[in-house]
Amino acid sequence: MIRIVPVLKIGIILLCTGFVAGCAPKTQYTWGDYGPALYSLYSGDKDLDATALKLQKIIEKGEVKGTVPPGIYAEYGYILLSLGKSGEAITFFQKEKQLYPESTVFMDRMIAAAKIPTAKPSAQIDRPELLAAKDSSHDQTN
Amino acid sequence: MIKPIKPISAFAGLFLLAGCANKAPPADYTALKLENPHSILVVPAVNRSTEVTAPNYYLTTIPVPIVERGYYVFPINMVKRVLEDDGLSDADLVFQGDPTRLGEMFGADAILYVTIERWDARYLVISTTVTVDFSYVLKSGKTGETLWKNQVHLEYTPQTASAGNPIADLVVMAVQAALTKASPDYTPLAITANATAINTPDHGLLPGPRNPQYKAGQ
Repeated sequence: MIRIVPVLKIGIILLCTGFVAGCAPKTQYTWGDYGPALYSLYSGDKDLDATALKLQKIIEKGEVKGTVPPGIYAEYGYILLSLGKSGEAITFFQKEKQLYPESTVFMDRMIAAAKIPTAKPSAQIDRPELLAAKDSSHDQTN
Repeated sequence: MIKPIKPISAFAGLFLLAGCANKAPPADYTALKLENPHSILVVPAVNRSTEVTAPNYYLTTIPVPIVERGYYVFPINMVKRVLEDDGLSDADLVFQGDPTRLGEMFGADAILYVTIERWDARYLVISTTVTVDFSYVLKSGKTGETLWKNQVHLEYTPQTASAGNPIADLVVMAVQAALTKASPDYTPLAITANATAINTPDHGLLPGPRNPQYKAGQ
């Protein structure tokens, strides 16, 4: 029995870190329904407005305590960009960059891409073949 | 917090979680400490499982534990879509490609490649076992060097209809749903597996720069 106890303690920590329902984990950031929002998106939910709304809620809660997680402003900005709202998107890419300077290179690329009126929402890398291995069977069909 | 009123039911679920956190000797953290990455780019997972929906669902579970460990993680969905738009939708190709190009493209200190080895439920006569198995490789975005590796294998065999325990109930629901649904959801188990892989002492990721336990210049 004594040997079991430490295993169980680790288990509880793991479960709580695992964000299981019924468990209120202490997290450094306010994640809200981020996981479920992405899950919905990948389950074929094409309603980007709904996704935007979910991300917006996370941002609102996070801003109260200054705990908006890394990537959330950017994710929101990207959804806005996909909805054609490039001006607003740029605002959120800038927020991401300001709050998390680690994102500077990526956010600068996305801000530049967002400013081009007809560009697809992508980083528009000049030479994609450099990034792939020897296999270059991908066609860039634009 | 799990309610202390029901210690046995809470733990029952755990016992049936036959888990292997890495049983190898403690990891060598020399490279990771030297490189000291602040930001991690997680690329879409390579899929070796039989479930085609696994990589997308897996992706929804990975950012939180790494961020909470103390690293900046690039926006998961945005990265996935940007890679797709730039002709890099094939996870296997990205896995074999040069990490330093990704490091340059995103300004990422390190790239995390996850391979889903297992993501399935096996239906036996009297019981069902859900299995997830992930292997992780973290490579430097500057040099391409491997900084950290881990693997976690988790099997879950629900024994009771409801143990009154959240994770048991979630997995039982997932398993039951799997019998009728095309795309089984093992994300609760994936969440636990990731937490094990990232937080277990001697094998997990070292606390990152944004973690109060981070040791700079170690």
